[in-house]
Amino acid sequence: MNEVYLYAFANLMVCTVILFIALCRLNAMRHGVLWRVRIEYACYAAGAVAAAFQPLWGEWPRMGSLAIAGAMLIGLFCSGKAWAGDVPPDVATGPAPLGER
Amino acid sequence: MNQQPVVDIVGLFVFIAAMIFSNEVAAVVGPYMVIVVAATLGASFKVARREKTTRTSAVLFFLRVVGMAVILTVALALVLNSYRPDLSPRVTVAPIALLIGFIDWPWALSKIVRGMFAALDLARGKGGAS
Repeated sequence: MNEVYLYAFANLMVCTVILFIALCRLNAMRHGVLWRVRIEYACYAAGAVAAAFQPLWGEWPRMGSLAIAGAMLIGLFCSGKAWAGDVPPDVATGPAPLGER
Repeated sequence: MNQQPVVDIVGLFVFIAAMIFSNEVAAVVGPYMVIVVAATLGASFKVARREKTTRTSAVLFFLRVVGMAVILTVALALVLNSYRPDLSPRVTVAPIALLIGFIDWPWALSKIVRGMFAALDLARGKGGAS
């Protein structure tokens, strides 16, 4: 049982960091950020909450859950440079209106 | 009968996890998880829509919105169920939580109030150029 609790705690920690990073990027978004990027990070946030608290509806995380959560976290860390300074990267924003320089 | 002290770090993590994920907590909080997840999804869009602030402010705003959804959703679902008995609260809690999280309420309320005043002016015949 202790092992199950350890996995649950580790999963909670990883998902908390994912939620925090997703919230920081959502906060950095401004007018012009693509909808698909907003949806992506909103789903990361909701998924992180659902995964973090899954033991509360009787599903205990194991190695697989932890692995996919860890992979997502590494992916977010790897894209950290693109979001440096809480500024959305160019690929996350649509083209500026014509005439705007 | 004293409890064994927690001496190692693994034991500490197990102790914390057992506190958070105990069966007693699950029985109370578990049914609210649908509301929390739906409100999280809605609140995420609201965080993306508002002006950029500090990270702490964004996290606090997010927690406020989710907390408001947790408090209001069940009550609203029950009110809806009393008017429409065919809509069970089990079905309506998720969309209501999503809407509470998603909609920018001060903006929506100001629009509604402005519309009401405009309708009042129209009814009194004092709208437009004087």
